[in-house]
Amino acid sequence: MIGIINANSGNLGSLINAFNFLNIEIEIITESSQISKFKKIVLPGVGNFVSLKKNLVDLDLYNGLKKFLNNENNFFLGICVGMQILLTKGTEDKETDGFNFIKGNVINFNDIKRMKTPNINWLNIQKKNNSQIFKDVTNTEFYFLHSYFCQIDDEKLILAKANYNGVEFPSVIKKNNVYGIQFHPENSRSQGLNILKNFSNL
Amino acid sequence: MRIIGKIEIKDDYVIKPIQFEGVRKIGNPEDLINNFYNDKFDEILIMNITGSLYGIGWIKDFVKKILKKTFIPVTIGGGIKDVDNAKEFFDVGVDKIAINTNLMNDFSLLNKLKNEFGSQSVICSIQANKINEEWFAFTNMARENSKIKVVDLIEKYTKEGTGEILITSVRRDGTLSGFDEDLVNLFLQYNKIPIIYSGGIIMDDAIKLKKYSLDAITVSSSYYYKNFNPTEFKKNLITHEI
Amino acid sequence: MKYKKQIIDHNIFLGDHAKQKTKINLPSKFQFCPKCFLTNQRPTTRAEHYVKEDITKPTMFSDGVCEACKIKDKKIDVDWDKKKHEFKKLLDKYRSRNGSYDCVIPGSGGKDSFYVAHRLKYEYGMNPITVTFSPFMYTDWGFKNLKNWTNSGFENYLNTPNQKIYRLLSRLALEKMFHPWQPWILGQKNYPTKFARMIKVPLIIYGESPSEYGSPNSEYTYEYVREWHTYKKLSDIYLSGCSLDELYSYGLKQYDLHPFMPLHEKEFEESELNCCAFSYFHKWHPQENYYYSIEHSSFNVSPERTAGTYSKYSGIDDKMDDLYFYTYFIKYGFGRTTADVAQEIRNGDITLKEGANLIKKYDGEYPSRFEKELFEYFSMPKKDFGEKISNLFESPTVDKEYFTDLSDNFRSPHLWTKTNKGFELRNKIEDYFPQYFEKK
Repeated sequence: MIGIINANSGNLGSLINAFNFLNIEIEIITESSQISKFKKIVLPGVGNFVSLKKNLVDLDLYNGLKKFLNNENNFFLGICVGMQILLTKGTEDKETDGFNFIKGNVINFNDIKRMKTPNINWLNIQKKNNSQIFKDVTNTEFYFLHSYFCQIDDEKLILAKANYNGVEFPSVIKKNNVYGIQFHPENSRSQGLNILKNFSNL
Repeated sequence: MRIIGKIEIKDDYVIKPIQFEGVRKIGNPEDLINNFYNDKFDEILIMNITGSLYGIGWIKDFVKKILKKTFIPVTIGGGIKDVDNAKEFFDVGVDKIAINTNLMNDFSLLNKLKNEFGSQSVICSIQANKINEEWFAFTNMARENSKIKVVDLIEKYTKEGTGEILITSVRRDGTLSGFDEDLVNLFLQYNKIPIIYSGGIIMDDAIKLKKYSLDAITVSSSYYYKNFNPTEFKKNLITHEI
Repeated sequence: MKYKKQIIDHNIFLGDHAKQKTKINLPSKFQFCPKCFLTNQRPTTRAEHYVKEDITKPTMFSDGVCEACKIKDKKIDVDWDKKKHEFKKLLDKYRSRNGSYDCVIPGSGGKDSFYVAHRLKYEYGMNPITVTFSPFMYTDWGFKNLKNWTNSGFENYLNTPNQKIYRLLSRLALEKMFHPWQPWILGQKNYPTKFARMIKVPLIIYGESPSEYGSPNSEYTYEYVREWHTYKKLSDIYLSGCSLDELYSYGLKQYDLHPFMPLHEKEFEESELNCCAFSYFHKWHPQENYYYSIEHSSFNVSPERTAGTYSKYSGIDDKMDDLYFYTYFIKYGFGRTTADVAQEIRNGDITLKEGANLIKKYDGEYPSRFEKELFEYFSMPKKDFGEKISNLFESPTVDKEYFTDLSDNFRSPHLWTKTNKGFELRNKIEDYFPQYFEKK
């Protein structure tokens, strides 16, 4: 049973449809008391680092999730902003603290060089190793939609990279059993579904 | 370049207007979207093209059904008037909302949607028509001239911030006559936000489009009537790309 | 002067008792057709050159359903193959054997006439010559579509009437019957027959027959047609509701009226003219005519919808179109939207719900976009028309105030009521068919 955080900041519908299609049991988490029920949690997110953080705090989910992350036996999947919030700091709108579970900052592509944002593209990811999360994933094209990306201090945590306009950035990261995915697996055809399936099989 | 399959619906049918006129029925939405998905289109755009014109809202069962098995981004547009309306769609798995008429009637709709759902979930749509050598934005299924120039609108949307801008050439739409070079030249100078081009695209355009770097295009008639194939199209594009 | 300003007392529109007073012989009991929303407050097509006053036999409703819907239901059983065969036989009788013209297609290059001419030439192998009676004021796109017609392989004769006469007749028709469109109808009906006689090509093929809009005669019989396009006695003729003598008294000459005059029935017989409608022999679907036109040529829709309706493919040639539909709305309580909706519902293009919402949204829309030009068109200043004509009118100039006062004279109290919001229809579609409207 996988718990999916509803922090009013994500497109839950898509993700729910995906898990249902895969016949994977899910439950929506809206209260902190539910968190301890799960060994596997997914944090989806489109939109805004600031609003995701705020919503998690307002809904009293923030601290519970922080504890969840620090338990090495738990499995976590953060998607898009859900991945970015794992880092130390976000710089969208104003500087905001993330979970600081993985050291690094979230910055805008334009901080590196001037370019069109958001990055809305199907991009190939370059796998750095053959993690379980990539099992059966032969087509490596995934759907990205973001203006910010993670700058991670520890290269070893990066499972896959991607490239937008000459800027290389992490597309899949992992620390312990916590995974972060910058693209949207729920919108990335069967290869995306495989990622979700693999996560549920971990 | 993303290739977006577009279907226009009215009531329970897929229709194909030409130059935004005519509501000739051509098929069943589920079937057509399945086909788009299987033929490797990158995204789907579902336009309730008569939504604003008829003033009748929509949330159709087929949308819910399709979303349960279509795992590429799906955008919905047509007569969406407020946050609650949009939420109905996001809740069932729609990824993006396209707005035009109601946005032009009340620009605050953009911020309201952005604040609730994030800017990347909103596409500002422009129905562009050339009148006396100038490009103007139209509303209501391209029936009313807003008298606002397309370039001014692009600047406005860029300044306000939105996920993407969808620009449709009304005179090319449904005509299978190729993309509107004049219009493309007009908006390519605006390079800050991804722009989706719509109207008249055919397979042969891949050769001409090599010298333009469009972010995304929509395809409709060409797929129904002329065997448009996204994979082939991208291949033909790439044989030049920067 | 003959035409005084007409200012009507708005009290006649107040209260329930006003419901009983009707104008121009309209039925006092109001009915909507539940299948297409046409109302029974509607004149049928008639020979316009006999119209002395604007009083007509209204459309018949039977079993609560309008004539057009009844005809449509009957047509479901029509053997279209048989009709097509009939048509071919008819064409064969007239088909040229030496490369000369063999049929006359009246039209504007709009979707219907394009469609007819194109099929006749490229499918039926006829040699059509097209003839156009000019709109009052061409829209840019209307004129482009005329060019599109000739660009697509058709010779065209465009008759542009003497604008002073055209304008005068339109103004007179506006004053007398609130029907400024009439001179165009006269020309459209009467010029092609004269043209056909002149070039000795007796077969004239119109697009649409009146039965498409529900005239009582569902058959386009020869007798009926002849009555429409001819006259017996000059004294029977009324153009813009004026007798010929009256018009001559204004200084007009015979040749001034020529393009608007019908043939004498003897002339019609002598030339063995044969008028028929394409729609009599083929399933007629205006929307499909549009698709056909744009798929076979560089036909363009209007960039905006016509005022008073939602359509971009219908009624787009003439700036006067906007006003025409508005006068209908004043006189009969329904406008072009209702007419378009009715046709599209019957052809299965839109649903009843969609139609009802469109009617509520657009019907009776005031024609703002060409208002200034239209008022100028109706005005009869001395410097352009001379004293004799200009002095016919208490106010040679037509402006919004004049037009509004004039229009109120043609509202029937049984259809209109006056509230503090202004004039309102007594019979609103949302009241008769609430099931089609979303609750607010």
